[in-house]
Amino acid sequence: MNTSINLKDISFKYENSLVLENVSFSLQKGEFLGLIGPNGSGKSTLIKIILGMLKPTKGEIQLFDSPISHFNEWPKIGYVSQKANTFNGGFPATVFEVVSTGLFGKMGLFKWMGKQEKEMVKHAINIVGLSGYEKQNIGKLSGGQQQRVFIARAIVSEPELLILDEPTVGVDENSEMQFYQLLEKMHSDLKVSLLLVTHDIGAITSRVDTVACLNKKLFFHGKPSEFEPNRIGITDQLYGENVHVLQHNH
Amino acid sequence: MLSDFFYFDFLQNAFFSGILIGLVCPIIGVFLAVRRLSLIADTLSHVTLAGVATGLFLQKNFVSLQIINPVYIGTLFSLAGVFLMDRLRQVYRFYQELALPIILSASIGFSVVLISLADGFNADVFGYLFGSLIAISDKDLLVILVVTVMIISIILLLFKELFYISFDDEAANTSGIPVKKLNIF
Repeated sequence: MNTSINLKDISFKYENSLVLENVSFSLQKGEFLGLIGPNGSGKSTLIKIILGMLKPTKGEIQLFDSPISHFNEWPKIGYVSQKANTFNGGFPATVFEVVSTGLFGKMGLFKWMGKQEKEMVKHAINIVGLSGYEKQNIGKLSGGQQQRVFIARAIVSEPELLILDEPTVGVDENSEMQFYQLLEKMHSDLKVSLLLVTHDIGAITSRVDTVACLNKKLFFHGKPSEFEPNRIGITDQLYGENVHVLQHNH
Repeated sequence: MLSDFFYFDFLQNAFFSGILIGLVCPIIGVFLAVRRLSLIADTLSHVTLAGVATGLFLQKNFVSLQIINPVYIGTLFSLAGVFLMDRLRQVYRFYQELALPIILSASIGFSVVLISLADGFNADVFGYLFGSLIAISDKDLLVILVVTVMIISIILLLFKELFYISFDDEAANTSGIPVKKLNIF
């Protein structure tokens, strides 16, 4: 039981267009993997395949060492989608209610939230630094705060694997920095396995254990120390010849 | 005026059924409104019209089928409409509201064809569809009461799942909630 995700020769077609071709990699327990690639490279499709929303045309997926067809421990996985902060802002739900939804899968049908569940929700809200906002309507929060609410929802059930699909899109620099600090804390303190999909190569290579570069095929999968010396060659393959990666400090 | 209310059963039945329906409709409606499915009631009533028209058409043209109650055919069509709507919402994943006008216009077209084929019906098809509040019998009131209690109980039991699906059906699905089954329900 050491592997959170194991992908073997995954291919996927949308009608006649090949989106993923023979993608194989694994994510070990407690590992922090950064998945990078240009728009349309199949990153979000791969995430949907891992989460069982799409069926691959070819290949095998194992989650926590179980074939996905037999896997039913979905509360072990927390997911923050790319469109998390493009939800219906007029939805009449408070921060507490939205974070509570993260526990519903684990609780099962026909069960009400008890004292213990309420404490877990408060704890998750506290971890993301939103204590005091419990009764605030989610639509009235800033983009960065909303994103933290969705992260709290993903971690409230104490998942063993957290999948984040471009979670910092539309978020300001300050919130982005806090977000990366939060991920590092979860990685080091809670030993959560993390799969982070992002465009931000500069920010993740200093934080992740493993980098995976995807553009239909997997171009690179290895440690940041192996990635750095070959960064120009890999990004040329991924994005095209004239792309330069900017370094920044957060 | 008040003495009439206590004297006539049909007034009491109309009053209590109105209260029960007024109680249950917003409880269901709030989940539909936040999911932008407000037109679902209108759509399903047109599907029911197609079912009632089919029932009346069969009654008129086939003697052996005269025992069929058009209201039950309407209910069956309505249930089939729910399944079809769910299927279309999956096909048009990014424009899910498209499922409603497609089914609505197809149903009304089908109804018009059947009504024309039968050269009109002796029974008033719209009478079947809309009914009349003051024609509610004791038996109808009992059925409305049972259905109201059932709906409120089920919504209370599944409130957290319905809330989650209404807010974010994709996340609800990935957390293991049976979204497809609950959508059809």
